[in-house]
Amino acid sequence: MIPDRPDRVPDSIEPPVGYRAWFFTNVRGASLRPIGGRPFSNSAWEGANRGWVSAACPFGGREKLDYPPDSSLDHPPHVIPGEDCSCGFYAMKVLSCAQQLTMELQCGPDLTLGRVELAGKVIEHSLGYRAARARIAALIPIRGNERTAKRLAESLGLPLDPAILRWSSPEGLPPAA
Amino acid sequence: MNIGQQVRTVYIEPIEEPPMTETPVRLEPVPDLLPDTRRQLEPTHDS
Repeated sequence: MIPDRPDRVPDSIEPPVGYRAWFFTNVRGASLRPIGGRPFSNSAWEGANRGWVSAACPFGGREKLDYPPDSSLDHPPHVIPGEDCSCGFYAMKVLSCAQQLTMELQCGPDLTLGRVELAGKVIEHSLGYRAARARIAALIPIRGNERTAKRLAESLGLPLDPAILRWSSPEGLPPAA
Repeated sequence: MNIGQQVRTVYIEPIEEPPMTETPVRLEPVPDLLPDTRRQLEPTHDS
């Protein structure tokens, strides 16, 4: 059932596909950490390689709302992802945008790209999505980094998509394929 | 991560695949309770 709209049927059973990047560690078990997340905090992406995981919100976001809503809270409760909040799992619509992000951040070898599926409440944006639930469908190696990506994918039990070229142009354009 | 302006909200309820069984289950053969039709299908020489 839809948490904040019990009178509404789902719009689709087909999860939207998105692309994103994570920092990874593969020292004491493989784990993925969102870019911009705190280095040693638990990531909401933990377990997304095995199945659906749910996003959390530090500003009153919940998977479903209690009724009547508690008006004494500083932040009004909302269903994740909130239209007036920035919570939810993020993904870009096209791979090249996620690829461009990695170039802009000048990320090192501890970065991996992936293809994700999104579910639950999903807010579509012009370039990407924010979603209540997500799971990782595959990792995407960057050319030259295939061996590391393969090891990480094996640790996480995920398939690998074909390798893509590393972006090197300062204008943000991909090299000719 | 800059994902641009909000466009719309949709609700997605994916159909879950049934969980995989760990060991394959051997199915017992089920006896066919239908009558043997071979005898009934014998030629009748009715021409």
